[in-house]
Amino acid sequence: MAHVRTLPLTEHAAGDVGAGHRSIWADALRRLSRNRPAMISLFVLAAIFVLAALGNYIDAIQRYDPAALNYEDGTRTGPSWDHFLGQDHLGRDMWARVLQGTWISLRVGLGVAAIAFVVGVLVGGAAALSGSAGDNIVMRATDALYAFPDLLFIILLRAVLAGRDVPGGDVAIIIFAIAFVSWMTVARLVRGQMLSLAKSDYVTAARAAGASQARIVFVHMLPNALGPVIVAITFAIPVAIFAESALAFIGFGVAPPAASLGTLIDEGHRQIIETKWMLIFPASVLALLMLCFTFLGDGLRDALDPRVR
Amino acid sequence: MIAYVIRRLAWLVPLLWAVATITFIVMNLVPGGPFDANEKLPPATRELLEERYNLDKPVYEQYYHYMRDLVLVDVGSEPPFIYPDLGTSFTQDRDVSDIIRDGFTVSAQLGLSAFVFALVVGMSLGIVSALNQNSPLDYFGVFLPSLGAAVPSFVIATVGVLVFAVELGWFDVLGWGGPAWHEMWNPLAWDWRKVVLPVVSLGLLPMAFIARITRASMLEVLREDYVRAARSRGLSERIVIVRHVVKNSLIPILTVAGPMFAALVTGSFIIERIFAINGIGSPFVDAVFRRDYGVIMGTTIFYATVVVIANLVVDLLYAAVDPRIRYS
Repeated sequence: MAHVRTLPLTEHAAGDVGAGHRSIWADALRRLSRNRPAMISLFVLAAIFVLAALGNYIDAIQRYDPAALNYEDGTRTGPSWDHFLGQDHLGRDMWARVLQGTWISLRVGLGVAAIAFVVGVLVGGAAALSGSAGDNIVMRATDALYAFPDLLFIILLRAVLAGRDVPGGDVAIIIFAIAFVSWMTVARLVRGQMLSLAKSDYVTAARAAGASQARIVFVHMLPNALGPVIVAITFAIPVAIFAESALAFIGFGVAPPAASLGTLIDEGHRQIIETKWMLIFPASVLALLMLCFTFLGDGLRDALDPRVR
Repeated sequence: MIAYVIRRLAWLVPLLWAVATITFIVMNLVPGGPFDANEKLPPATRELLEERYNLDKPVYEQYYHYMRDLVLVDVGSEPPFIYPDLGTSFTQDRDVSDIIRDGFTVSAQLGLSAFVFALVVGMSLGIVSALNQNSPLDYFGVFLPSLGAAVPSFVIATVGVLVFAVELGWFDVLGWGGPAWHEMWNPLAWDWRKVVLPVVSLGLLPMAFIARITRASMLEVLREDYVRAARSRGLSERIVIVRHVVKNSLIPILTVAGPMFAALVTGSFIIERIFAINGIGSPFVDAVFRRDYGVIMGTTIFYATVVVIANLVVDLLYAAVDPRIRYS
C-alpha cells in the first residue's frame, strides 16, 4: 500500500523524512552481516586485537618478557609448551615477541587510519564547503603533497623525527610519518563526495525545506559521504602496516628491544636458513591481518555502496 | 586538449617548487649535518669542506643557492635535453644528476617491468575470474594472488631466492639484468635469469590488487544493459567481451594504475637492496643516514616530477578510454 506523506515544511520534520525506513547504516550493517568472508575477517581481527592487547598488559598471557634473553632454555628452540612459538637466535620467547609485534603493528595501522580519517575529512570537507576559491587553495596544496614519492618522504620524516622526545615514542613518530602521506587520498575522496552530494536532489530538497547549513552538512551530507571513506580507511590500515614493515626492513623501525611485526619479519628473514619459524610466525600473523582487512574492506564496500548489488 | 596539457605542465613549476621547499625544510630539521660522521674530521678540513659545499652559510642562503642553480637549467643537444643542476653529493663528490641518471635507468626498468607484469598478469587473472564467476578458476585467480600479496615484498623475495635460486637453481640473484634503453624492445637483450625474481617480488602485490579490481569492474560491466543489448544483437561472445566489457572495465583500473606506476618506479628500494641492484634506492637511503643533502633533494625533486607526469598521463588516458571525459 503506497502511503502518502505531506511534504513537511518545518526544519525538524524535514530531518524525519524516511524515518519509517531503515537508515543507511542499519541497511549497510545488514548487508555486511550476510557477507561471510567479511564477518569471519571481522571476528578474526577482533580476536587478534583482543589477544594482542591483553598479551601486552597481562603477564599470564604474555608469559615471558619479550626482551628477556632466556639462555637457560636455549636458543633457536622449536615450538614447545614452555615456548609456544619457540625461541629466537637470542633466546627470546617468540610468543611474547609476536604478541608485542602484533600490538605495535596494529597500533601503527589504526593510528595512521585514525589520523588520515580525521585530517582527511576536515580538509576535504573544508575544501568542498568553502566555495571555489577555498576549494582551489586547499586542493592545490593537497596536490603538492600528493606529488611526494611516498616511501621516500616517509623515510625522510622518520629520520627527521628519530630520537626526538615525542609522547608515544617511536610508534607515534612512525604513525605520524606514514599518516603524513596517507590523508590526501581521504581528503580528495571526501571532497568529491561532498561536492556531488551538494548538487543532489535530496540536499536541494532539504535546503528548500528550510534546513540550516549545519544540519544539511552534518545530517544529510556527511553520513552519506562517509561510506567510501570508511572503505578507503579500511584499506589504509594494511597499507600502513606494510609501510611500517618496509621501514623496519631499512632499519628505521621501532627502536630495539621493542619489535613490530615488521621488525620480527626482518629479523626472521635474516635467520631463515637456520631458524625458519622466526620468519614463519610473524609473517603468518601479518598475512592474516592483511587478508582480513582486505576481505573486510571488500565487504564494507559491497555493504556501503548500494549501487553494487 | 593541448591547452590542457600545457596548463598541467605549467602547474609542474609551482608544484616542484613546493616539493623542493618542503623537502629542504624537512631535511635541514634532521639532527646533525653531513660531516658529523663516525670519524671526527680535523676542524680545518671540516671548515674547508663546509665552505666548499656552502654549508657554512645560513640556511636561507643555502636555500637561495640551491633554488637558483635549480632554475638555471643547462640546455644540451642530447636527450633529455635539459640538465637541471641538482647540486653535489657531499659523500661521493659527484653531481647528483649523474647519480640519479645512473641509478634511475635501473630503477625505472625494474619498476616498469613490475608495472607491466602487474597489469598484464593481474588483468588476465581478473578477466578469467570474472568470466568464470564463483568457479574454482575464480577462487584460484583471486585468492591465490591475494595470499601472495599478504606478505611484505621482502619476504616474497627472500623465500623466492631460497626456493627458486638456491634450491632449484633457476635464477641468478645478484644485480639487474636489464639492457640499455635502446635495446628494451629486444627480449634477447634481457638477462631473464636475473630479472624474473625481482620483478615478480615487486609486482606481486600490485598484481593481486589489479586482479581484484579487474574482476569487480568486469562483473559490474557484464550486468550493464549495453552488454545485454550487444548480445541480443547476435554479436559473438568474443566481440562482446573484448569490445564492450573489457574496454569499459578499464576505467577503474586506470584510476589505480597511475599512482601504482609512480609507487613502483619510485619505491623499489627494498627489492633493490635484497637483489643488490644498483638502482636509486640504496643511494637515497644511505643519503638519509649520512645527511647527504644534495642526493636527498635531487632524488625527491626528480621523483616528484615522475609522479606528477605519471598522473598527467593517466588523466589523458582516461579521455582516450572514456569518451565522456573531455578536458578543456
